[in-house]
Amino acid sequence: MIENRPLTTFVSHSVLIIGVTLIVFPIWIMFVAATHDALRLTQVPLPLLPGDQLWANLQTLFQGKEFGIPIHLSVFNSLIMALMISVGKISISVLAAFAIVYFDFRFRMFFFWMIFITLMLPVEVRILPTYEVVAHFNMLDSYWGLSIPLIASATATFMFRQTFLTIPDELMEASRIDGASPMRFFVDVVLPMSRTNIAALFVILFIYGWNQYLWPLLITTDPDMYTAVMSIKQMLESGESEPQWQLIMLTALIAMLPPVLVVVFMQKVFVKGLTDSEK
Amino acid sequence: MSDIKIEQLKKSYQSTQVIHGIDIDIRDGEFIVLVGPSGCGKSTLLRMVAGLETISEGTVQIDGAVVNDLEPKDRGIAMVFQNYALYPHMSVYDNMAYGLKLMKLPKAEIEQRVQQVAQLLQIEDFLDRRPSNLSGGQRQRVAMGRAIVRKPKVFLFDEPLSNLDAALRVQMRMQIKTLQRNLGVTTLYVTHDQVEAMTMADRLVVLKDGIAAQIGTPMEIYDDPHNQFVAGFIGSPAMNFIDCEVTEDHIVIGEQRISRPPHVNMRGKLVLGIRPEHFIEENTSALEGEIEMIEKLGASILLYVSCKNVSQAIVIQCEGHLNVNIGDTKNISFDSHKLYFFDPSTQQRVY
Repeated sequence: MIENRPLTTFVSHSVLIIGVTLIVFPIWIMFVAATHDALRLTQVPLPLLPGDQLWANLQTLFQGKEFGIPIHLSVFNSLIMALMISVGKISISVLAAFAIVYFDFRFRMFFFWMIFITLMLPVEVRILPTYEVVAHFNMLDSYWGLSIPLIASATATFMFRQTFLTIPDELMEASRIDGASPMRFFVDVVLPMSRTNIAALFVILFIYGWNQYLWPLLITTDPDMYTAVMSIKQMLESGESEPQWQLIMLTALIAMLPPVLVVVFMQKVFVKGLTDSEK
Repeated sequence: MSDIKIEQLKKSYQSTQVIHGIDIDIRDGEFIVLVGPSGCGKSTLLRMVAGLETISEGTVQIDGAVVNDLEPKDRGIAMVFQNYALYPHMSVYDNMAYGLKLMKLPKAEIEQRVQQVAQLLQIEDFLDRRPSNLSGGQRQRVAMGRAIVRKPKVFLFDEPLSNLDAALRVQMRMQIKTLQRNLGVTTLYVTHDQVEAMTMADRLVVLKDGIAAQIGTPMEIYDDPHNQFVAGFIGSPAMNFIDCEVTEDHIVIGEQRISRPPHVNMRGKLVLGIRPEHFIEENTSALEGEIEMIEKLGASILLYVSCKNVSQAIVIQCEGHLNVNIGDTKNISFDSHKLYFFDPSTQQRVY
């Protein structure tokens, strides 16, 4: 649709500008708040231009005296958890999908539906029994405890299954004739052919893992294991004193960065993986 | 290079049997075409030789050794698929080299073999391209290159030309045939196109419903079909079949009578078969009919003539410049030495 009417241009631009403002303004406020000191933020009106306290606030966060964990450690924890979740989810579901699509074993469809049904069991639903299990395995306050219960993924398995179904059977047969074992075929043909899907899923799952809140909150008691997202909430509740808004905003800002970077750098593959199939 | 011996080969899926015991002896270097309508089991047969389908009963021998339980890679075969089955994420070079890499050949030898085959097939110029950047004919050649580079004992082709356009198909047909003759590799070739089958085969295997209806050279099958199915399937345009009754003096078709040629010594209700190209121009006509449809092919012309008491229009091939119109009455005579007779109940040829 290529039209050149001034009114249409005007309307569409205004809609876009309003949309962008709605999204960017709060982030701007966050940034501004992060650059002032606590005192200034209690005064009305709120500042709309950045102040000069950014450096000082950063230092406070990196020392982490007030909230138990320095910001770089909690971001690191978050990063480890998000990576373990996304890598774990992808490797398990890609193998599960490979088994379901390419091997003819008993109860194949039964297993497929079992996996599929777990879609209806997100962490929130099974949180108590899962906690029980993790506690018995002594995995509280550990990276394993943070990530393993979130690793199984029906969505990813299903997505990979659909991708594999579009790979023609003849490719499998050709590789058999070429002398490839099933795992060779998996590594040499299936994986390279689904790499855009893997990249797209990685983006989604990384953000999913990064944004986990309830589960880390539940199983971490040691402040060294706090993740960035949950530490924001911890800061709000830090008891007797006023909430340190400038620090909270700065933490939120920092916690936002990695997902944004992942999306920005992987956007191309992400879109490609979701839309086209180069087969 | 080697011979293949297929003995009493059977294939069943659960309770349905699709191949009912086929025997074929293939000599070293022979080009065998498996031809038949869709669903006749020709691809299944090929895939059983390849090792992609399990063999329910019977044996396949390559070079004197039973290969029933061998993996495809150990059978010394190479296969070309209908959709080429090239690995889309690999370059042409890697596609051809993949099997060799898995054989753990030294790099230098792989390089040398691939280059040699690429030269043979004239695909050297796009060795580093992806298959998606190639035309259909080029992909076809790469698929063949991948097969040749393995130096197999047997080539298996599964309808390799059906994705190409008509002109290219004719060209590739000759290329494959020439290549096969030069390499001298025993070849099994599946097609549903009887022209392809006739032009390429040293010997044809005509399959129907999982049975080898007839095995023979193209001309043997054309001249001497064993049953009505083979007669109708091989030859283009297809043979005409006319219900008739042969009595002492006549061949009776509906109400029309043709005097019985002395050498036809069968009697009773039969199916008369005659090829479109075996009608002749004669003053005394055997049958009369009205021209329903005319197809001009240039060199020749096909007349579809509907006759009384004959259910299907009779196809007659005439010389190209014949001046006729739709609706004309056409006198039909045939070469009485080129008649075939089939038993209507068993479909076997009786004369």
